Amino acid sequence: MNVVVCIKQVPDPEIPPAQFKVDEVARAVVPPPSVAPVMNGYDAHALEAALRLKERHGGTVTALSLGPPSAREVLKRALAMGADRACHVDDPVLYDADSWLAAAALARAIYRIGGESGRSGQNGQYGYDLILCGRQASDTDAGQVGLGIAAFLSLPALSPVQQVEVIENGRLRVERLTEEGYQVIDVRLPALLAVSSEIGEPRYPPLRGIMAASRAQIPMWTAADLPPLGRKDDGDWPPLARKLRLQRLYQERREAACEHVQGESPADAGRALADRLRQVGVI
Amino acid sequence: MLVTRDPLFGVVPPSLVLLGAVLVAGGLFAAGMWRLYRLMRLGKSTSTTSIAGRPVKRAKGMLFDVLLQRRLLAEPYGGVMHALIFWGFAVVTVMTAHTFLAGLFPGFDLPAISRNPILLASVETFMALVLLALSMALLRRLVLRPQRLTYNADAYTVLALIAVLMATAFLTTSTSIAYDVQPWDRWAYLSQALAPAWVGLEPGHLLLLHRVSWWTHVLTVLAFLAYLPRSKHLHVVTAPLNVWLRNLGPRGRLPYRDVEAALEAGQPLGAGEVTELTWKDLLDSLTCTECGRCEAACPASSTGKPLSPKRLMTDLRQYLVRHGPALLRDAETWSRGDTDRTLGGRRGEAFAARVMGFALTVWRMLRPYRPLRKGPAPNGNTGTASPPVRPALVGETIAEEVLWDCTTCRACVDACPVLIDHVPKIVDMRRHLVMEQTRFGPEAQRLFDNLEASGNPWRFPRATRGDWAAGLGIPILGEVSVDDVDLVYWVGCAGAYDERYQKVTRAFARLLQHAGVRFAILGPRETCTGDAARRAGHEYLFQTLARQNVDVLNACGVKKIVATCAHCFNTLQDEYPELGGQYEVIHHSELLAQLVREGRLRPAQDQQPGGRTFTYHDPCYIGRYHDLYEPPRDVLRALPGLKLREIPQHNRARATCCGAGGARAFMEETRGTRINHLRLEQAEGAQPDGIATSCPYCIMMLEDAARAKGRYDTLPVRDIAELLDEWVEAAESR
Ligand code: HEM
Ligand code: SF4
Ligand code: SF4
Repeated sequence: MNVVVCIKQVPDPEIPPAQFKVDEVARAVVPPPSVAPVMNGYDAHALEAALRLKERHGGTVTALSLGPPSAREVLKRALAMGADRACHVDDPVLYDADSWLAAAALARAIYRIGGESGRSGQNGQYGYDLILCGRQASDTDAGQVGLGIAAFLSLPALSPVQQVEVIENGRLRVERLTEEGYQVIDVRLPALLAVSSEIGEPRYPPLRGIMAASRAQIPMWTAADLPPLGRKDDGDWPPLARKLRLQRLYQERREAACEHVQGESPADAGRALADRLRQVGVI
Repeated sequence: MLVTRDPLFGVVPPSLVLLGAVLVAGGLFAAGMWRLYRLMRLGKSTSTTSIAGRPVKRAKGMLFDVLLQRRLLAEPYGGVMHALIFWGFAVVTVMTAHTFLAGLFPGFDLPAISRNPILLASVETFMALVLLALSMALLRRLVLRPQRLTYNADAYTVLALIAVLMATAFLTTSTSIAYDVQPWDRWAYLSQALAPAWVGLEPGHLLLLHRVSWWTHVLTVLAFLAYLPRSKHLHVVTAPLNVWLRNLGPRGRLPYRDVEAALEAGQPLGAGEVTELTWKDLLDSLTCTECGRCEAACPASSTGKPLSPKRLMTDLRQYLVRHGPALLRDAETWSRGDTDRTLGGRRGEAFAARVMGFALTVWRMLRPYRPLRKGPAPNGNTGTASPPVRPALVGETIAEEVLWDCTTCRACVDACPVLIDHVPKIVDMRRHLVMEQTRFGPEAQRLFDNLEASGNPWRFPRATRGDWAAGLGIPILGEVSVDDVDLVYWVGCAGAYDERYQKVTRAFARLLQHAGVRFAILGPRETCTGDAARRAGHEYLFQTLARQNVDVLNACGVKKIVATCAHCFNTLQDEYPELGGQYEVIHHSELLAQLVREGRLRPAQDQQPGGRTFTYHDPCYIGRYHDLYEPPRDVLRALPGLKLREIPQHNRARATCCGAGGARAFMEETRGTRINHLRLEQAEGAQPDGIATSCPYCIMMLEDAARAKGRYDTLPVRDIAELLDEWVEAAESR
């Protein structure tokens, strides 16, 4: 089974929120300096799912990322974890992409990967059998791009997924999370699954993998390298253009004050505290 | 000696019989020793031990730890018992050697030995003392039954052999005296006292009794010799060797591995097999006397965890002896025709191997191989049948959780009378798990991830590492030149980020300012020293972090460093020199003690009426690792109104670990009971009003324990810097 995993580079989610700054003019979130971006958590789970499928059923895993040059670090980590190859899509016209543009660029890239893999997938036509991505990215939390890719490539999509299992050639049994439990759904390949963390902890890359990955050559594609999806009626589908525009980004101001309520005895203090709380209208 | 005067059964000269017996026993001994030597040589070469280096220090070790039995005597009962046996043997061996020479060469007699009054009297005295020690040993094994001992047949066999030796020695001499008394016999005063017991026997029977006794004695000596290489009593030979070959490098320095070179060359990255340990590690395992002192001292064993340092050594030995021969065969098949191979490749060794081959074959026929300890029989024999399946050393023979339980507290190493070094083996096997197998728990993964991403174990941003110092007027190196400061304060991750420990950091900085010490910090340019990464087995990550720090420190020209964290202190002092970082490193306890001594810090009388009693918990990485027992106590003793009361039994070198070392601070403690609770209970034994210590991780662990036991408010845990700061502030405010 040939799997393509879409991986996003995000600011380290472990950084305390207070450390971020907001640039209201540029409408951008500025992470603190000296903290390297990391692989989006759910995408790491998606990669783990892909690697487990490969270990059980063979095939290849291709990691794909859209982003500035630093995204290559994330791709190297994917290679270190066990991906067979990586593709990096980087073009200034794609920076600050909205969900539509990101999905469009990634769909085109996947289309190209399918054509290039040389080995056709089980379905013959596509060159890939499965596309995995995380259910959402920790910076935007939109959860749109995966579904967008599926739409552009006319694939069935399921999200959020907690388990994947091959039941027969060309069919997967998938557990899709719901509010109170999960659904069991069979899906015919090729398909796109947006994976949740329940699928299993991503592995730590073996040291030998890290060393090999640090020397790996990763191809870089610009917008011009991404072929249109070959629909006859529209030569440039899907268009690489933004559809959404952010209007305002600002940091909410929160104010906190601290006040000590005292009393002669604990009981007095309690009474004084109750008075004060009533005063300010909390109780 | 009467025996040698008459031929045995009137036909064979006894000297020939004895010669035959000596050759057989000597052959068995030599074959056994040769085999063990070759097994030991399966190990890699070692950089930390050199037989030639520092002979004076080594000789001193021999004097104290072998001849004077210093480490054994640390435990009075077992120590006295053993010292008597050991000294007894040392003295008696002179006489035994004479007996053998006289037996082999009829007419041989050195009156300086056989008629030496002092020697005769000492031999008799020590033989009696050995018998006393043997009854102590029996009492211990049968009645007192301390838990730390291993109760197997091997132990009783040797006790029995020694008992037979002593009994027959008395019997032989006393019958000889009864038969034909000599003037010098009065020095053999105990035998002489026994001799009247035989007066009733007619001379023929007396002579027979004498002969039987003599032969029993002599053959028992030989049996003992032949038995040694197959028993833990091999320590008679290996213990002095191991003491001589002890690691004289810094205690806190784990063996360096060039990970990148190993990766390039496709070499193993840790010890997953006995061939990846050093020969000294293997000698250690062959030396272990199974005394269990290590286990009794081990915090993991004491809290019911699977790790026992004793088991570790005996498991390693058992594996070596059982599966080593197959590894040797592999190595030999591989090296045939290739004289450059180190293993058995050297010409002299190859020749010796051929010579010994014959003896070995004979020995194998006489006695099919048996493992040292009881256990399932080895699969198949040494023949051509399908080779036995070799279990993995790491993971199967020594379980993973055993390796992860260790806090690297060094209590085992400190307790071991034969100077076995457990910690580097454990870390080397962790390296195998981490770097070779990528096998470790999610908590270790988080630790590694965080250290990689942010240079600290909790993933705080690097940029905020100096934020604790905001507004305190502490210069960052770079803002001031290194020439304008007396020293650099190494804050450490806990000091920089941990809210609780920041109080210590600030208190210490205040004290330095107060005493007029000019210092600077590195701020955001400081990174985790890598102690936890290294002890968790991630040598590569350690080296990455350490190199960053060494680069920064060297670029700034730093010469003198003070650290509040015991782990940072150890790594900076003992481990960075190997990576190109040579600094004068001191622990804050040393500096504070000095400042108090010089009168630059003047603590006032305690503000609390009646004063307070504190006890002191010794952090492993400054205590057992660096012998800094007194400086922190000096600081506490300088606080008027504070009474220092030691934790009963478990203080100084015998302090129990808090449970945090060896990267355990970053892992859940899921097996057994909690080490920090045990330590808190020990501390409560001093009935203190508070616990003082001098390491951030000790504070965290002990405070956690106090919280869990509802003693957080009644048993405060404080760094010595916090206490000194409180006392100095009090002087100020007056
Ligand atoms: C002629 C030399 C020696 C003899 C005859 C000898 C004999 C013995 C015997 C009989 C025991 C067993 C006690 C028992 O299991 O109940 C023993 C244990 C032991 N021996 Fe030796 N030994 C010798 C040399 C040494 C040396 C040189 C060292 C170390 C420097 C050493 C360290 C030990 C230790 C640590 C134990 C375990 C003690 C314990 O259980 O507390 N021995 N030895
Ligand atoms: S270093 Fe400490 S925890 Fe580890 S085996 Fe030795 S005594 Fe036990
Ligand atoms: S390792 Fe040392 S202390 Fe532990 S049982 Fe063996 S000889 Fe005794």
